[in-house]
Amino acid sequence: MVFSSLTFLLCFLPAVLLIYFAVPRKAKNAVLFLASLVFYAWGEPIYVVLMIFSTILDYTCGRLVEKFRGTSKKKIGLIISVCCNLGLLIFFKYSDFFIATVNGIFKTNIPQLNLPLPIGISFYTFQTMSYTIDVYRGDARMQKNIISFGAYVALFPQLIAGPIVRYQDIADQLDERTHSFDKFGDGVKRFVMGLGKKVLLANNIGLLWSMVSETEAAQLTLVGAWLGIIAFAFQIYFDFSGYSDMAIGLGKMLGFDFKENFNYPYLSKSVTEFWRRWHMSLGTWFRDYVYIPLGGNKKGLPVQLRNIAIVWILTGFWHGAAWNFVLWGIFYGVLLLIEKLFLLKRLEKAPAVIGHIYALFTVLIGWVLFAFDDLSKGLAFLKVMFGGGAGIVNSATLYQLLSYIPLMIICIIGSTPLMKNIYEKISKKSKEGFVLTADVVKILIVAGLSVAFLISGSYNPFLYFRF
Amino acid sequence: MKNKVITILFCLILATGVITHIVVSDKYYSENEKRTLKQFPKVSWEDIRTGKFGDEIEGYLADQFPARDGWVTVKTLTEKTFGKKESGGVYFAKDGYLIETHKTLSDQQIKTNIEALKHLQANMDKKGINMHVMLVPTAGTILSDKLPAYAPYADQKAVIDYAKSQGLNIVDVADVLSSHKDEYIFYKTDHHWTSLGSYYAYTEWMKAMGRDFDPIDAWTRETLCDNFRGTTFAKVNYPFAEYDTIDAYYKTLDHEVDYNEGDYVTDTIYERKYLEGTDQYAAFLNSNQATTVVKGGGTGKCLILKDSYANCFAQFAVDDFEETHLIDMRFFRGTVKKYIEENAIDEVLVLYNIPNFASDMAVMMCDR
Repeated sequence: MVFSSLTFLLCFLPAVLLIYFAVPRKAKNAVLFLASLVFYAWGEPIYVVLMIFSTILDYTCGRLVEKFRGTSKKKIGLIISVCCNLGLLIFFKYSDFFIATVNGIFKTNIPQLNLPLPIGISFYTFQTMSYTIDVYRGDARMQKNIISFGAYVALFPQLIAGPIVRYQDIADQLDERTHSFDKFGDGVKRFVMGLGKKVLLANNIGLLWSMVSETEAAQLTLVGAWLGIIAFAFQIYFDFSGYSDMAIGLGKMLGFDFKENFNYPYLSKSVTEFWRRWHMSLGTWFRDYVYIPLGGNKKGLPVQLRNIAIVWILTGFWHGAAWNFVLWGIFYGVLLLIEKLFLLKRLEKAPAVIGHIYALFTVLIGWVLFAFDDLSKGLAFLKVMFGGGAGIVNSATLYQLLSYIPLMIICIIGSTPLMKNIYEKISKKSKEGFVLTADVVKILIVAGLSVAFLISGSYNPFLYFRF
Repeated sequence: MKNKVITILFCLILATGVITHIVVSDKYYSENEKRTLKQFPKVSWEDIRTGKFGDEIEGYLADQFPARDGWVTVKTLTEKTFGKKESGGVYFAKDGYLIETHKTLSDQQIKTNIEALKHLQANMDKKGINMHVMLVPTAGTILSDKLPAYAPYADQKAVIDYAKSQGLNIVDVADVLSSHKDEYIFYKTDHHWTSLGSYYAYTEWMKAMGRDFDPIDAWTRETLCDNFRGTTFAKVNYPFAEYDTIDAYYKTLDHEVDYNEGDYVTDTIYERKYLEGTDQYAAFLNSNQATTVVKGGGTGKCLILKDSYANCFAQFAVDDFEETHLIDMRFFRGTVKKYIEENAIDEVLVLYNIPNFASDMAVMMCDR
């Protein structure tokens, strides 16, 4: 199930909220766990077994870690957890990729498994691993209650597309969290804005991208290609950050505080900064569980460069089982290395505008690699962006420009904190009643328009679904 | 305090959604969209297991959402406000025209269908029966200067040229329609041509057969309704859309009409009961029927293999023939060649609008 569906908004959410707040505190985690399993099972019921397996496995591993703490077998729980989680991820997500690669190299003919990808597996295996590692390191206490642990693993707000919640960040909240009108109200505002980002901005600008990406490279113009990839940049940002907003908002309604996942990434002045602002929970995860354990930057420059390379190949690969994602990761790894070695210092001295242009330019090139599963198509698209297409503009490009300029402007404004700052400035100066009225109007308009678009359009894909 | 109000507001919105959905009873048919609406799906373990049940529930909720048409209007108005030139597969064209956005046509289906017609034509040639093919360009082609600036639209004339190059006996109506493009030849809110538009095409067919035809004044014009909002309107539910006028043209109102071989026999080609509903174009020849036979005072027996574009077209032809037969391949389960033999047809016309011809998979059944 996805948040931007009528099933979620009209059936699931009302029912869950009603039951969740009706039951006593002690039963709330059980309600969450069961609700999350239903949420998960809605799309692919079979794989709910996988989720329950994952829950039991890591719960047991946590116990093993605790049991053998200080003994020679202290690593056993950790090793089982990491191997099993990575094993699951690799088996379900990468088998066919490896089979195709082996077939390609050795001219063998191993049949593909064609398994459907369990939804959110890239997210929840990372979360369950973080639990065992955190317990092993002593960053969090073992969870004794399997229901509470299950609620963490399956937690429906962030189950499908993150943010990736580290166990240590949420351990205390699982056992002890407060519910209040204040939190719930904030959650509502956050959820509705996230819904609007996804349904109104991402889906609609996505139509422009699909128009462009479905055009044959030979008929694509230079302006058309740039317009298209900018549209994709907005689509993936509003899609993904809208989803994170909805997750954070739902979390607040249920008493949780998740960490932020995006911080206006398109305002960055370097690639290094971009990755501090984009999908922050993934960056944090790789930092805490890969980069630092490998020695981080503490073991001299060569080791640090090696570590950066490892993290970025893995980051690329995490996004999808295809070479374009690996290339995308390497692209960022190389840029980050260059920045670390000398570029960052120069960028800091240069006027800010140069940093902005450089960062946006590289990010857009990155999105081309990201958007095309088929590398040859991606390269053909890049060629068009640099003048190798059907001229500069044609009537198709002009039509797209004329149709989408207003939405583009809204997306540009939406990628900056401009509206938020104006809102905060006004609300500081105004009476509470006025601010409240403004909030209510905002919620009604955004929710109303989102429903209108949801009902009318069948075009409602979730980009981060396949990861 | 502030967030308490917002909390209550949100709960009220959710509750309203749930309660209205439960209280308002499910509808079976949407007048506006002219289709049956999805009903609550049957629960089966197989459907639940494959996730099909979930998709069906989502479709059901969307179809049965209270005031569904109104929400579509909200979407259309929002898109129009923000500069979109199209919505829901319809262009907001100049002068109030809502024109379907046929940006691409399936070359594969066109080839398959033309291949089938070639076989039929060869068969007719052998039997000495005349056969013509009329592929009608739609509003976006003829009224291209009304489309939004730079709007993409598939080249329908290329389909006609291709059909000609394949040796089909084409009645090309693109030029005659274009030369009358300032007249009311296409509806503003529907994908059909008007009766007047079809008259100009009729004259081309008569010329191709070497028959004489009367000027349009020879027919009595009667306005069947002036509050018609058709299929392209239904897709956007645009509240400021204009109303179309449907005209009938006849020399006599009395014709013996037989639908589906005796299923329903009546004495006029105009089925006026439809004029009360929202599907008024269906008044021509009782919507789409598998077979229709109209008796007239003319000579010869013609068969029109057709889509709904022929429904208003036929009113001009019915008096030229002794019998005018119409077959809609989408519903016809017999064999065309056999039908032609049994009914002693001596003139065949294949009449489709081009986007429909390029997508219709029933056309090729004519070669069976």
